[in-house]
Amino acid sequence: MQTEPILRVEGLRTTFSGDEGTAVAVDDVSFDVNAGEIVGLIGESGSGKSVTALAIMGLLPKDTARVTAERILFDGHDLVRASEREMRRLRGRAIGMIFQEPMSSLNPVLKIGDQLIEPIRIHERISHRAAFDRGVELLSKVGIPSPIQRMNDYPHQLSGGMRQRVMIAIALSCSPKLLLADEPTTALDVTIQAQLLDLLLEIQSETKMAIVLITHSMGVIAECADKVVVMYSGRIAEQGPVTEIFDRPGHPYTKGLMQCTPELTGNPRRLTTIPGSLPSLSALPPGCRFAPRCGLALPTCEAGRPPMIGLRGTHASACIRADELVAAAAQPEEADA
Amino acid sequence: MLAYTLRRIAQAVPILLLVSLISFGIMQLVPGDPAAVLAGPNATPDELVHLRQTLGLDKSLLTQIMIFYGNLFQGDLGYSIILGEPVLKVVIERSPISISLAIYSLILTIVFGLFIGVVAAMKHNRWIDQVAMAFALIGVSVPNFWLGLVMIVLFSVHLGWLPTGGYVPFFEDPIGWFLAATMPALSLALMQIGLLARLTRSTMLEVLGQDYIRTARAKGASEPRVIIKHAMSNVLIPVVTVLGMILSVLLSGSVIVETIFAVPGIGALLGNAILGRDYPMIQGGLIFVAAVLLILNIAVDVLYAWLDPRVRVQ
Repeated sequence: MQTEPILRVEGLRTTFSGDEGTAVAVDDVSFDVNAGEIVGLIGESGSGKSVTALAIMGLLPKDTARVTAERILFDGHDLVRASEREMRRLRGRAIGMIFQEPMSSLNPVLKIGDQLIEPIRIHERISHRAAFDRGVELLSKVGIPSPIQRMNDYPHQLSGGMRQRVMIAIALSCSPKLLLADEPTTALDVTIQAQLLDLLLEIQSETKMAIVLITHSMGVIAECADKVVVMYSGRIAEQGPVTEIFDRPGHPYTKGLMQCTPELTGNPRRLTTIPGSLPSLSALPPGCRFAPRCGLALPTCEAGRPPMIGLRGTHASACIRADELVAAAAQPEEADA
Repeated sequence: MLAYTLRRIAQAVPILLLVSLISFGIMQLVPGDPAAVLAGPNATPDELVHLRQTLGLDKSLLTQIMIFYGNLFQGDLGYSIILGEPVLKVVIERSPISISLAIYSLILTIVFGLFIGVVAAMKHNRWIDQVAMAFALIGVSVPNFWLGLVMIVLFSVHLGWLPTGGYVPFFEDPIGWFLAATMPALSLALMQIGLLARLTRSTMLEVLGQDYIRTARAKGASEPRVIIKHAMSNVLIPVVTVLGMILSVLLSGSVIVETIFAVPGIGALLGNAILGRDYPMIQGGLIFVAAVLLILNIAVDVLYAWLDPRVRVQ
């Protein structure tokens, strides 16, 4: 069942220039998002996940950031070459976005209602009354009690979880085809996190919009996503269907991420950590960027950038030992022994 | 909102009482005999006795306070020694002059201060920003009496565009008022324009980096909409707080500027009263200026609460 992708990112590269020279935050990133699909974008802090999302939205600061790509195709538009005016018409209407910090993402001096119906008023010719009614409907859809009263509240009167629900309602207000969710639950309590993920999944199954879900939690990916893109230090380490990657990880970094996530079922085991930390963007290793932290690294790993190796189906990994890893994962008992 | 306003007004009453007590104390703080100081070295003993009686200085301190407050609550601020007229009458005659001047310079401050600050922030680190901030620095550094004199030399003496000073009532001749008030208002406002422009610029830069501005852009909002609706509503909060202080500087700064431009306002009146040791006039003027400043500050606080919903809760 191969459908035309709604979002196709090809060769995305983002650099930031500052006083200390230029840093490449995202380097040659390509992935597809099909209509109605949830794609998880996972990686450590600083791996370039958020920058990727902001580059797609065209929301990176123009004076310091430079975004290039072969193309970023979204629904017939090439977002890299689109004019600012064209981008404005897509933002909030065809592409919605949710941010990590619900506490600071809403304007403190404007009423919830005004902020919620703003995209509707910007993108649609509709009366204030009708927009207000739709706002009330949206608030009750995202599970906010007494929505009519809440429309007249200010953000400081709402809890973090409620504010993130409002952010979701804002992102959904014009029924976008694509939702970019940048760590939507990271700043919230664990119990609220699960509620919000369930809410997102419920809305997604209803509206069939595509979601790019940025997270650093393998658990969230396992629960929500159809496809995973694993990013490391601005590059894609591995991508493929969720089941494939969880069963047969083809990159030592993915494997490391999974081993440092506790399992609630099965035998308790000692959690492992990945030694070291992300390389500095100003001092990147010449070859595979994970090589200095990798237990399986060979001398050739440090020589040049490893190519993407195609595995089964759409599964691909940027590791020269990907085939070995996948084969080892097929016989886990033997490999562990 | 109404409860908040009433509470602020109630808080002003003790402040006003304290100010009036201090202004009463001025008479007591004069070293030696105030009557002797007032009457001068050539006064006869009879004149001194008479002066003490008119000023009530022959009575006990407590009685003096009672009489002072008794008169105050009846709106009687005493008689000016120099002008020989009731202080309240003089103050009411002169205050519209100073207040119209202060409002004119406040408008100049808000319009130019906000405009320069916002433009500088939007063109951050470009030449417009640097020119604007250089101007603001000059504005902050130039003393208003010097600026006033330079403007008189340039615009009145050399170019002959504006009168050197004086005052024309606004409702009699608006154009004449405008011509006469522009230089005094400008010399009062320039420093405040500089301060406000710098504050506006730094606040705007901070606000533009906030997450909610990114949210507004992610909604597809146009740049004017982001600046006016989302950024300005937040920038105005600290700006309004400072407006209260700016107003008091504009009113009290008028002592020097009114003297330079021969504007017969409260500032010049108080200045002359101090030079002529007209104590009832100084007392009355002080109480009046304090009352005006209190009212203005209450207005600023109410405006502040209206702008920032988080303040209203408390």
